[in-house]
Amino acid sequence: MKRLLVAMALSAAAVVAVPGTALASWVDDKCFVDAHSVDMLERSQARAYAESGIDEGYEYAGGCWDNDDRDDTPGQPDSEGEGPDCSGFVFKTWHLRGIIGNDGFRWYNRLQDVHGPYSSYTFHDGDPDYPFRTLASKSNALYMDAFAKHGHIGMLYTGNGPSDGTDYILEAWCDACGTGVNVQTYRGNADYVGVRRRDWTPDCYPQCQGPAEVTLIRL
Amino acid sequence: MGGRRRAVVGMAGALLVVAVAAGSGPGLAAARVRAGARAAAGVRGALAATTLQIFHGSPLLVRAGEPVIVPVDVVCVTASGMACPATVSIRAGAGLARRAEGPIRQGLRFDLTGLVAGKPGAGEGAGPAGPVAGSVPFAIAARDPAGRTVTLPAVGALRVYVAAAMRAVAVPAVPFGRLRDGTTVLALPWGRGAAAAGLDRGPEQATVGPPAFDVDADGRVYLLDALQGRLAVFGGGRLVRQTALDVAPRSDLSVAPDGTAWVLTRAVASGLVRLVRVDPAGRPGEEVAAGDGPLGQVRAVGGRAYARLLPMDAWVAAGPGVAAAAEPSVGRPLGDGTALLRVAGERTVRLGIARGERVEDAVELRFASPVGEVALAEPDGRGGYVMVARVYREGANAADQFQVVLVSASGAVRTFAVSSAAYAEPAPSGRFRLGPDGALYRMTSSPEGVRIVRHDLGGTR
Repeated sequence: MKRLLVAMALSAAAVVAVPGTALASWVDDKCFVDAHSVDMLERSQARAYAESGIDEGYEYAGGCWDNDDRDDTPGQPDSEGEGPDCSGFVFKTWHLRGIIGNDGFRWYNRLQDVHGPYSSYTFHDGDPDYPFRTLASKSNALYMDAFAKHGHIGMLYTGNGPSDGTDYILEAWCDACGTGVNVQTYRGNADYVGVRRRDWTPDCYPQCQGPAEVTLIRL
Repeated sequence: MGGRRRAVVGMAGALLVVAVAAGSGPGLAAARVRAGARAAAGVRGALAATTLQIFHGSPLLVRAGEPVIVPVDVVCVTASGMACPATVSIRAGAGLARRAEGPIRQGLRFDLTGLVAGKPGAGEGAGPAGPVAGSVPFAIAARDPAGRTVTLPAVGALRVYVAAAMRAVAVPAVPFGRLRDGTTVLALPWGRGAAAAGLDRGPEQATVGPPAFDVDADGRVYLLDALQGRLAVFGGGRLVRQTALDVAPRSDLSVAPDGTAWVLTRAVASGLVRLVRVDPAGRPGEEVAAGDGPLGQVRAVGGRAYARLLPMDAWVAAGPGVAAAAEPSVGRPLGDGTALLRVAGERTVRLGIARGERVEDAVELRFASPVGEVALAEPDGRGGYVMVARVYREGANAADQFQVVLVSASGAVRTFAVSSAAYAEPAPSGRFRLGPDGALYRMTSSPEGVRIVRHDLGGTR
């Protein structure tokens, strides 16, 4: 039942917000529609895009933020305030399309209030038709892959985590926490699975010289 | 990360200096450049980075004869939200005299194996010429296309230790689900008020409660109740006192033997990490800034605190009387001039004691399952260690648990497992503490509330 409610709420949020008749919300005041298709997306560019969301707050079913390094609606949960929720942040960062199962890439202005149709449940459970897939092992995760459980999802910020085995996770974490990079233990937590967007463009494009993933420089 | 105006952040407690340097050259010491720094430095050009941050993956402790490989990643982002092509250089070896450079790319690694300097050892993997042991200092710099440079660390060097000898110890597997319960010493329901613990939960977000706790010599529990803005002290399950503190949901806590509490947290307004001291009477005192990276750890040792700063992944001293620009230590200082080294591998945990440039009591614990994190590691004072690692299993029967390991100087192992279930996720560094009484304390939670559980380890500390 909870899963159904989440899906219903997120489906509604996937529609661009329409100004209401009551007091204007932060989203009403700040956000607008601005999106277009793009041909490709590198992990490095996805991470660069997501940087704009850091320190910008959290909003359940949200997906609109400015870039002033502060949460403009702190302590105002479910108010059409600033910030994405966890799955909406992944949706925009991964440049996913707004219709379930559609391939390709779509860029959204950070100030477009769009969440997308995917919840943490769909990211976790996966489906062959989705534009992302579950990793066989979390140890294979590369940066900008995600770790998802029922209820939350965050992205691996870098492959070089701290020496204690934890990871730097880029995530819309919680109402009181906002959005940012946190040290987390999702890799070792059995509730989480690894999730990879399909069709990443290699970071080396268009100068890739082979399948080698490692560049070793000796001193 | 658009408009923060921050050019130079100096820290009174000598934790870290963040600065920016325009133009080419070695650059000023810096861990990160963000948008405000760009404006203040007057850098122009579309490719000037507004975020320039180095992440490295130090092997930290290697066995003599093994390669010394340091992977490096750089986050380089322009004001328009585009990834920018940074260049990475590393200086390493004696006097940091050797240097290499390359463009940042996925999978970039520097090989420092040829720079190991030290005395011949007798480690596993000795070649015909015999291995050497010691340490390899290194420092990393990243340069954006506009020529601005950041360095890691800001002062001094990081270090990889090479152990002449490292005992390999197989840790017996504990079947998943065979858990030891422990004794509850504090239980609080979720809610508001002195006898409850704050909780933030909702759909499509993490469930977050108290990030950290500690235990003092009298057995009192210090709970960092971030969502109620307080440091609460409980004795015998009852509230003894509380101190109002503006602490972020991700924070860390350590209590010194005299009752002084140190809190590492993030300022809500500025986003900067800061270290707050609360005296034994519960009065909040001075604060020092601690950079703007992800939140790390704090530990009280002797009369001072040491903070593990990220992404430097090294410890620096903080508090009254600490000189500015202190050199970082990749090991956690133990108060006697030595430092604890610990590093997690895919199925291993390595531990050792750094004394100067040498390593003592190095051990490699080998697990049957993948290791997700090292949640606690402490020397036992007799050449052995107490450590807690999360081990996990993937697939249809996915499971995880914390495995407590006591390894003696001779390599004898005792081990048992405790639950990793948590309704509200604490900070990774805030879940376990080794109490002054020698017992292991663990924070756990359920839909009903949070509990602190004591596990007797059968010894004294």
